[in-house]
Formats: sequence, C-alpha cells, structure tokens
Amino acid sequence: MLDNVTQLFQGFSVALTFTHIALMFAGVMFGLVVGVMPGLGAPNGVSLLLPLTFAMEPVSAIILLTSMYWGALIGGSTTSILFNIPGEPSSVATTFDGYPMARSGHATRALTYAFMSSGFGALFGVVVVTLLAGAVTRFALLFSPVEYFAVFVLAFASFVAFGGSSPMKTIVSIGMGLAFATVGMDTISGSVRLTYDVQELVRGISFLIVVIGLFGLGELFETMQSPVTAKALTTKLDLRELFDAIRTWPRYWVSLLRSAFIGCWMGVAPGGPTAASFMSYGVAKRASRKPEEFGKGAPDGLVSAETADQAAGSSAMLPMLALGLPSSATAAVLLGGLMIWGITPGPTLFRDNPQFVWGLIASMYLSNVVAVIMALATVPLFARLMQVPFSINGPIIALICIIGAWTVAGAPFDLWLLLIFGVLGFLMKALDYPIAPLVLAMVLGDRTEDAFRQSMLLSGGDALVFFKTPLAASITGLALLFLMMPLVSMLRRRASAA
Amino acid sequence: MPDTRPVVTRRAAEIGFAIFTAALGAVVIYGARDLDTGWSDTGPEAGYFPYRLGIIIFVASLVNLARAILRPGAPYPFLNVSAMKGLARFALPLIALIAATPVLGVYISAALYLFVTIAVVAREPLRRALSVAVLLPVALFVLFEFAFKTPLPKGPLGPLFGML
Repeated sequence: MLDNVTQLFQGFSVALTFTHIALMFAGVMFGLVVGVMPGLGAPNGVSLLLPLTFAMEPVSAIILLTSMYWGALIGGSTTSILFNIPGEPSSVATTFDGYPMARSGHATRALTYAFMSSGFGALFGVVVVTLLAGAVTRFALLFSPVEYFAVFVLAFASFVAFGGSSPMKTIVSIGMGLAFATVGMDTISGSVRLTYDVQELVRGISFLIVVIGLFGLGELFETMQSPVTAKALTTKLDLRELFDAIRTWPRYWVSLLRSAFIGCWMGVAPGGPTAASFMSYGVAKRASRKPEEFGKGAPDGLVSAETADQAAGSSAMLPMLALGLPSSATAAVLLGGLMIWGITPGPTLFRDNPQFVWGLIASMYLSNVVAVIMALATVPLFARLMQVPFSINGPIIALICIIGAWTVAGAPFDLWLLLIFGVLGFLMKALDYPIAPLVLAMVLGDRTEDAFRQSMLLSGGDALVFFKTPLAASITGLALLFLMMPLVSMLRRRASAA
Repeated sequence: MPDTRPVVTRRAAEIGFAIFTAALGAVVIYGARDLDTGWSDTGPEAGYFPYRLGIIIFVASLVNLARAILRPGAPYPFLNVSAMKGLARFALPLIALIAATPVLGVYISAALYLFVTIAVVAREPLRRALSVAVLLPVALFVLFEFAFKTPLPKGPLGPLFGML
C-alpha cells in the first residue's frame, strides 16, 4: 500500500502541469453542460468528445474525458434539484428529496449538500482506487484467457440478475451488443463477418456511433414527443444558506460513510452509479429513524443518493484499468477510448505505463474538487440555460450529435447508422430494454470472443476448462448462479401465488 | 390540448419489437452460416461465436414475444397522436440534415437546419432563429477549424476557404 502512495506522488507530478489543470477545468465545464442538458448524458458526452482526443497524449485525453465524467455526474443533480428533471439517469434518486427540499425554499441548501456529498463520494472512491490498485492488479495477474472469459460472462450475468429490467430483455440487449461488435473484419481469421455485402460495414460498427445514437438521439426522440420547457424554482444562490449548509453538512457523516461504501461496492462490481444511488437511497430509508420524511425533503436521502452516485463513478476506474472491465456505460466508452489510443487495459498497464495510470488517479483528486467548486459557481448560469425553450435546445443538441458522429470517421454512412441507433434507443427505452448492457457488450465484444477462442485453443475444445482452476470455477459458478437467480425468484413467486 | 388517441398500443409495440429482435437474431444466424461455424486447428472458426449469439438473440426474443402476446397489454398507449406529431416534427428535419450534410457541408446544412427547426417548426421569433442559425455555425467553425484542428466538410463553401 505504501508503494501505491509513492506512485501516487509521481502521478501528481504528471497531473499538476498547467495543460492538465486547464484540461480538468475544461472537462468539468463540458461535463456540467452535458450533465445539465437532457439528451447529452455522460456516456454520450464522452463519446462526442472522444474523436477530438485521437491526436492527444493518452494521459491528457483521459484526464479531459474523466473530468468531463465527474462534471456530468455532479451536474445532473443541479437539474434534479431545481427542476425535478434528472439530467442523468444516476441523479433520479436525487430528485426524491432534493426537489422537495428546494420547493420548501431551501434550494441552496439542497444544492450545497448534493455537491459536497458528491465530492466526498468521489474522493472516497479515489482513495479506494489508490489503496486497492496494487492488490487488484496482483490478483488480475493470475488471470488467463479462461478467467477473463469467465469474468466477462460474470459481468453480463450480473446485469441479468441485478439490472432491474426483465432478464430476457437484458439478454436480448447483451446479445445485440455482442453481435454488433462482431460486424466487420475478424482479427483472428481475417475473414469479413456479418457485412451482408455492404461495403461500409467492413470497417465495423463504431461503438461511438452506437452510444451517441442510443443515448443522445434516443433521449431526444423521447423528449421531443412533448417538448416542455422547465421552470426553475430559483436561479440564485443564497450565500448565507450556502455557508450554513457547508457548516451543517458533516452532521450526515453516518449516511456519507455508508453511502460511500455502497457506491464503491457498486462501482467495482458491475452495477454503476445509477444502481448505486438507488440502492444507497433505499438502505438510507430503511436505516433511518424517520423513514416517513423520505421523499419529502430528507437531507439524509439526498446525501445518500449523491454520495453513492459519485463514489461508484470514481471507483469504477479501478476494474476498468486493472481488468479492462467497465461497470457502467460511461466507463465502457472510456475503455473503448483507451483501446483507440493504443493502451491495453489490464494488470500490465500498471507496470508498463505507470505515468498514465497514476497520472489519471492523481488527477481524480484534483478534478473532483474542481467539479464541486465549479458546480456551485455555475448554478445561476445553468438554471438560465435550462429555461431556453426545448424546441431550440433540442435541435442544437441533435446537431451536436450529428457533428460528433461525423468526426468519428467522416463517413456519411455513419450518420444514417446514428439515426437507426437513435430510433433503436428510443424504442428500447420506451419498452424497458436496458441500454447500458448493450454498450458494455459492444465494447467488450471482441475481447470476450478472443478470450473464448483462446480458452478453447488452450483446452483443445473442452468447455469444462471454465471449471478447471479454482479461480475460474468460482467465477463461472457465480456467473451461472446470477443467471439462475431470475428463474429461481420467478418460481418462488409462482409457488407463493399458488 | 394534446391529442391522446393511441397510434400504437403498448402491447403492439412490445410484439413488434420482439419480432424485430427475433428477425435480427435470424439475420445474424444467416450471416454466420456464410462463414465456418465449426472448429479448426486454431480453435473456433469465425462464424462459431456469431452463430451462437444469433441463436441466443432469437430464442430470447421468442420468449419476449410469447410474453407480449399472452399477457394482456397495459391499457395506456405507447404512442398517441400528439406524441407522434412531436416526433415527426423533430425527425423529419433531422433526416433532411443527415441527407444534406455530405452534399452541402456541415456549416450550410447546420444553418438551414437550425433556421427551419427554430423559425418554422417551433415558430419562435424570426430574429431569435436567425441569430442562432448564424452564430452557432460560425462558433462551430472557429471551434473545429482552429481550436480542435478537425476540419469538417464545407460543401460548396470549400473552395472559398481554400483561398484563405
């Protein structure tokens, strides 16, 4: 662990340059915009910015994009509290108590609690990443392709079991993601797959187009069914209440610590910020002595949701870097970015490219503090921005999505693909098909298949290889257990109904 | 007043989408069958993985389809008339923008798109529409050409900038 701290200080020497600090501010600012505006969520925002980083140093690029992620996670709560409109899916739980608090005249208090809790959750998450990095990478070094395949299956299985959507719909989402990933050139055999003689499909389907379509256009289609312009409760901050809120905020330390733990758990194991904030809110309500106040402006509920949200976001960087395993859609996009920049995630990354890894981790300490301060400072600005009629904001966001898709490869075909995925995203969302597993499957698709083929090659085609070593057997067993869970709970429901 | 007569019911939408994903699974199976779906000395062939994926998508879709048919559909509509109109107002200019971008370049089509959506579709004041339609493409131009150094297609404006 001491070794990690030394590495961290070297990371600070990477992160604390003028360029990188400027990138943090720029990233957080972009992120706040993205977090506030509907149709521009964190995964979509990171995808839009990613093509512009192709020429950058990888460490600069990741600092810019992760700062954007922190900004988006925190910015999502501004609209939750002032408008009762979650800017991000992960800030839905923030509306439960944040909006009632604001409506009763304490908007500044609610915003301050939310941002401070976000900051606390994020920093807690980064500390966890710092302390566990060494141990997790040593553990990951034990992995062969067999264990990797098992871990990927486990990630998919946990979406089926805990994703909250119908298991069969989740399986269809994952299957579609994996299938989209196989389109184009097969890296092992060199043959062209699933292109149906469409020349444009030979280079494959870019996950960036898919994310911009599903999350960006898809959400716009949903909003445009009945565009309404939101009314802010207030666009001003009350400075006296702000300082009073900062002073009283530490009172909620029990909720803060508990939620930070829940957030980190959901960040490291696949679940992501959205699941983390809901779970943390639920636990806080059950643990509270006054559960009847939840939903009516209980500070504990607000603090719990926000802390877990941000803790999950930042701790998700650990499995992403050490195993190449993202636990949320945004982490999946960042992972795709790593591969485009020529960086292979995994335990060897920590050994071969400590500058990159520790530069990123060190930057997370700084950029999250930047995010809290900037989020507070920009409340009046964004509250006004949200009041621009959506019939104007909507087309502007759509235009940004189109340009973003163009910058991926400069191909007209991609724009049509974007439209198709936009419609798909709209339908999936409306019919409760989960979108995040599709994105995860798409980014992990090639590596899942490679791991499977290598495992089969190692074992000479014996599928039991996934149970050969104790490590592989326990991961595969857990995955199978997760896949069985919906079935078991369904049978139990039937039995109790009968 | 919003027109809430249903265009598509929730049940029909569920059934339609399950048929769509089942068809997608079938297309994947068909595409994988063109390749070798079995084994070689180098392990599973190129079609092995997609073939099985196709089957998984197809079977899971059939389960969703059966559920959608058997369960009495929720009474609320999936799309009503006014939502459909809202979607069309947004989607049609967007399709025009996608078709125009490779021909007219990003900046001209962006200006036209913004003007049409804000002035004609949303019926905002002309002055507001014009200022967004002019200022935003100019801002994008400065941002992409100079700050990001990522030139975007300029269409007929291209030669003009070549001379600069």
